[in-house]
Amino acid sequence: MTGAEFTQTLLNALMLASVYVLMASGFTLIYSIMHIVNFAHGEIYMLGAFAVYYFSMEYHLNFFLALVLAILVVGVLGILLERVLFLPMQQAHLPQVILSLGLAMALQGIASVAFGAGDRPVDGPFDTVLRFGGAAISMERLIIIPISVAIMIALFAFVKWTRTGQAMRAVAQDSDAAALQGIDVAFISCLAFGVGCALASAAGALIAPVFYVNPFMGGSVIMKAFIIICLGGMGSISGAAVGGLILGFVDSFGATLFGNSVANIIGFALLIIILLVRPQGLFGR
Amino acid sequence: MHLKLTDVTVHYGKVQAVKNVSLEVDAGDIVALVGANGAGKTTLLRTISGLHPPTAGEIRFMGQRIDHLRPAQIVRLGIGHVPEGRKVFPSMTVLENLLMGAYSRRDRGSVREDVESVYQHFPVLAQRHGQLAGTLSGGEQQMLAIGRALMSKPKLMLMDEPSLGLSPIVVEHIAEIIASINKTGTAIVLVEQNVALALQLANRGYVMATGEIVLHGKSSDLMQNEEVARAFLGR
Ligand SMILES: Nc1ncnc2c1ncn2[C@@H]1O[C@H](COP(=O)(O)OP(=O)(O)OP(=O)(O)O)[C@@H](O)[C@H]1O
Ligand SMILES: [Mg+2]
Repeated sequence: MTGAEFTQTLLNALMLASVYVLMASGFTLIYSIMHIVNFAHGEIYMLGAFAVYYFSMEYHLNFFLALVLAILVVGVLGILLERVLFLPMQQAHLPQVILSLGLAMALQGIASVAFGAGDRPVDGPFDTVLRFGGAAISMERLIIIPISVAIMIALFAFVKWTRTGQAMRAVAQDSDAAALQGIDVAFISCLAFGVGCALASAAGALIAPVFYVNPFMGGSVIMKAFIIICLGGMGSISGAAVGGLILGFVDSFGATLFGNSVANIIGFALLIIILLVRPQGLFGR
Repeated sequence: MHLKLTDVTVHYGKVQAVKNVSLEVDAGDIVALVGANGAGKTTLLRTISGLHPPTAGEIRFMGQRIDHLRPAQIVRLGIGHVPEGRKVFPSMTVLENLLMGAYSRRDRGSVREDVESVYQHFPVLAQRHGQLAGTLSGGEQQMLAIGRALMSKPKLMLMDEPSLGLSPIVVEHIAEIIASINKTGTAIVLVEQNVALALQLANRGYVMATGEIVLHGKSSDLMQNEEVARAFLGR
């Protein structure tokens, strides 16, 4: 691997990791509060990508504005989905998981009908290409990294220092005890689902200019999110951050060195090893 | 302050865990609630706090019906709950746990002072204020659970087996704390396996068996009662 190749692969790894971290932290947040694996998370990511496509390409809004709108709109959609579909199930976890599976298929189907099955391109905010000693990387890829870092810092600050964020941590640790302190657990569940969806939407919206947007784009990324939260520890946001970084590097360097399929295999092999050696994941309790 | 349960029945699915329970707690009371494993004591406390809805009957607190309120609303009315098994937030520090206890309060300004007064009750919590609650010993966790419930400034405190699994010295300390909380005007419902201790602290008591109240009265009378003595006091 030449120095230029290395730089290129490194930047790609960071970009990929950024998207993975956003995706997985939303996934794990929902798990930590509701104790369900949200199989529709990939489709929420896809909706984020379509949202940014419509806002920026059809309504010609500035990319960053479109990004913010995509996050908000899909976040609110998440809140509605929780209220209308998940809440009435009264924390019956298995039915909720099956519901999320059905929701994934329904959203994919609805998206195919409403938006069409073809690939849609999204123009990024910049068309400059940066060169670092032989390596070339487009600004639209690079910009993903600081935006994701900013979103993650905001998420950590929210959870750590705001009253509502503290309430979320309390519910994640013991929902009965949280209710006894006066926390409205149903409200926190709803909010967590909304924030989780907003994070998935951010991931989808940020990646949209790099890849094409289509109704099926969520299928592979949900597997990535799954590997990441098992790696990091189910329910741990720090775990999702570290797991996302690891998988971003594995995928990027694995693909450059050995090709895409081998990279995928390495990811799963890593998962199996972690599950054998430390079943609760790196940050799991 | 007055809590009144009238013919409260609670089910888990089809299984009846609490049957037609009527019970009263007055201001200043310490009421012991004792009974064998599985008698329904925890279920009853959870129902009072709104964690599990009753299937029949009525619960009134200070005249207001609370049996269909959510737990958050019930805490705000002034019922604190020290749950069975302590249930502290393991990945939060001691201080964060105490602050969570004040979550329902509107007078945020005086929360810090109340943290200090909890620390006076339990100096060990002050020493460990930055430590994660999950790393505390059982006795320390119990003190934290009590301190956390105090932070909501309850008029009535429900305590579910605060002595469980603790050494005799710690149990004695907890008993002193319960008495001193009561002296500041907080009524207490005390569920205990340690029946001698509960009846000693309480002024009145209820005995539960398979979901029903089978005996109640002044605790001095209950202590003299032959059945109670045989079943619980090992006499
Ligand atoms: N979540 C639950 N689902 C189904 N049944 C339950 C549940 N919790 C308790 N029960 C049943 O309800 C009955 C009363 O249980 P409860 O825990 O209220 O008793 P308890 O008096 O607190 O007992 P202990 O002294 O062991 O704490 C028991 O028969 C128990 O098996
Ligand atoms: Mg019990």
